[in-house]
Amino acid sequence: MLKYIGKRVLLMIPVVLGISFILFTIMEFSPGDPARIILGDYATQEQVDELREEMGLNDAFLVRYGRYVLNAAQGDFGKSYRSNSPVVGEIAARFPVTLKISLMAIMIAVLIGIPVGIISAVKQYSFADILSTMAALLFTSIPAFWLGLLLIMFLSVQHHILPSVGSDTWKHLIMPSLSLAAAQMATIIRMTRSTMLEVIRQDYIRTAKAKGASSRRVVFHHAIKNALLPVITTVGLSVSNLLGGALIIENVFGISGLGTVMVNSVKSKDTPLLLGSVMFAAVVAGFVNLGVDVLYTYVDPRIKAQFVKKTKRQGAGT
Amino acid sequence: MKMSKRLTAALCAAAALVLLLAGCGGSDGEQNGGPAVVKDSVTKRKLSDQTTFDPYKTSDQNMWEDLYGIYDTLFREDELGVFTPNLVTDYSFNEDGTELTMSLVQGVKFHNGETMTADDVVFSLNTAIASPFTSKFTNVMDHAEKVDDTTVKLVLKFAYGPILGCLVNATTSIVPQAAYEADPDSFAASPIGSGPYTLSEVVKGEKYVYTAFPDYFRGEAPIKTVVARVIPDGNAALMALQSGELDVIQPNQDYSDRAAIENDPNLEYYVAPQACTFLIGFNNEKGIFADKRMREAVALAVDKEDIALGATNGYAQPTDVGITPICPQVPTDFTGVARDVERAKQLVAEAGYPDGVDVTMRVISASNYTKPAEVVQDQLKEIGINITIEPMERAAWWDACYLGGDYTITIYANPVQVIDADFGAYPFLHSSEANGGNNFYNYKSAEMDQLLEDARISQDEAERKELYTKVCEIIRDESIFVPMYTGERTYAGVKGLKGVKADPMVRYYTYRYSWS
Repeated sequence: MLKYIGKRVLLMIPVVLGISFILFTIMEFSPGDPARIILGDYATQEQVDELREEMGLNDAFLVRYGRYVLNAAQGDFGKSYRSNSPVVGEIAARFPVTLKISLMAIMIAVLIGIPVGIISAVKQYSFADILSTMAALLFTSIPAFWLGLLLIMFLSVQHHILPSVGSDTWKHLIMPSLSLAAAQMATIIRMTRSTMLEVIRQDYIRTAKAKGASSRRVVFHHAIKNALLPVITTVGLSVSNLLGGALIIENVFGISGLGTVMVNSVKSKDTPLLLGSVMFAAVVAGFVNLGVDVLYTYVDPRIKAQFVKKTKRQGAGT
Repeated sequence: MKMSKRLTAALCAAAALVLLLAGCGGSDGEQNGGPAVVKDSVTKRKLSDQTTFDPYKTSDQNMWEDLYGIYDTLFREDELGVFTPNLVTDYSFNEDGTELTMSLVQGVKFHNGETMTADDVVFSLNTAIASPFTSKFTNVMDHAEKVDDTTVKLVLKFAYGPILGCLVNATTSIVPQAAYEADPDSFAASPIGSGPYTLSEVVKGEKYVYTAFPDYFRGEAPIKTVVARVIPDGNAALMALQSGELDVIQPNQDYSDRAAIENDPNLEYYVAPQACTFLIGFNNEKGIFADKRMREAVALAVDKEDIALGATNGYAQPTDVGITPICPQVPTDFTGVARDVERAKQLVAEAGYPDGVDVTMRVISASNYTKPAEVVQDQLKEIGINITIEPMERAAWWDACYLGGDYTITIYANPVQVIDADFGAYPFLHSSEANGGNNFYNYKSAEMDQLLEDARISQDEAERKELYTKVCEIIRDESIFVPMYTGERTYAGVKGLKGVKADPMVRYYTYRYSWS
């Protein structure tokens, strides 16, 4: 298992390199001169040219990319063009708030999504099932930013229950998390419902029922384990989606997280900050996916058995 | 059941983690809620994150806004918009207007407790002059020098009418030399000025907290705490104002939230003239609008009232003058081109397009540019000029059109950074600024150059007005561009907060605020 994890971590390196190269290329060919953006509209062309030279922007594209990669390999991700502060510091300052919102959103989505999905499947075609299916459809269709604005209107402007901007306290995080969670929750409800429906129709469930097991035991002991596998995948993918979705939600709620950093760095052609933040997000997503894969082994004994067999085979061979 | 327990435990652990992380956010400080009874703080909207507090390393208007609280400038704009001495008790120009000698206010304290000296002022001005960020305001300045311990002389490259306006801008703020020189990077993050507020807390990208400086030389500010919250989204800012979380905001520039604010009994909407004129710009050098007849046809065909109505819901004033009307040197009784669609059609035919012509209009993809573009597109169809609008990101437009000259017709707004006609005319019309500079209309004329140079150095306001009237006449007669309208600079706040006003230059002096 450790070897597998190590291999997966090593595989992230070419992925991150690929992302950095693609982004570097896009930023290179997108319009706008970073030196001009930094100095503003009033600077003369001579002053802009001087700064370009100072920043090394006149070097060949591959030279600059190579220099960036070499420095990054040594932990130096450069300085933000706009603020002149280290990229690592900028990310460290902004990521915690994005993490808080994303984790809260995923918790809401999982804690509501899985039970509702199970009830919906177990009581198929009941009022609860119809209601949950409709709710799932509704939450999938509503754009997160719009839901956010509705929540602000209702809970902040009209009833003064929750604050609408910033991330100072846990109260500030409720509405952004709810807005982000809605679509993911709908996906989890639908996924849990369909996989549960599939599982509870299988022979071993019928056998369990025939042997006199209670409905509760059948659902929680026999069905849920197998039904959860695809749900775990969905939850894993949701984390990546949430990191992306936070980008819009942070803007609506005046929160300065990783998403805001990415948007601003694109606008100001701040290549070091954009590369740093996107690569960081990619690594986070990579580790989440790895975590999901590892989690499989605990939920599904068949996957765990593969690793055990491999280890045993290797042990026998030596 | 074992699985169920494990799952429950995992979920509980995750919930605890989230609550723990959420709890790390600090205490329940300022909060939304009902109206405050006794208040000595103000929470305002900040459009974008503060990238630096170094006054000499930013040319961004949104950065300057907070710098006006931290630093002092030698001159300031009073409540009536007049430039008055601030850190200066007395000032005089030499005979040819190239030297400005200033006597400094004594006993001004910086936030670190040190007293401001003539050396600090000389250092600050010379640092500003050397900076590429400040050139719009300092390129007429040659250097500053110390006359004695209480007097400083600013030497100009030539006599310059709007010099006091330049010394009001945040880019010429006064800093303590020793603290700045010790570590400029650290200074940019932890600024020390002599202004009414000190920076007391930073949550990067989210909020900046300023505390009143008790030793401020003009007396401690009535508002003891100013919180600047970074809220780029206009709708979010409006709702935060309505919910009571913000006290003042800069509303959307396309006036989309104006009705909502004006109809709210708890809010006040403030209006001032905008320091720019929206116009139809032409490339005078290449493309079909290099032909004067085509430019004139556009000038004759457009209905400015309709454009102002369509683009701004009628909140803008149509104008015929080619320099922003807010500048006092601009003629007030200027007559533009009368609308004559038939003559415009005739000119298009004479220019070689009797069956009409297809044109691409490249515009910045923001509603204040695309909206007027759509109305102009509709109006020019009538005379056979069929416009295809090509919206572009600002940086792309800037590269291609403004610096590269790769356009035939566009929508732009000539801005002024100091309320003086020189700022609204010289950069956009002098031939030295053509082909890559601010004169992206690429208009070149010796007569225009002479007028602009004479007006720039003249010390006689009546003469300057006369010269700028001639400049406006040339703009009209040559149809260098077609001025359309000038909008309004707006601001909004809760009722009860006094001293708030909209400012064309976005100079919001929080020092003047107080709760009634």
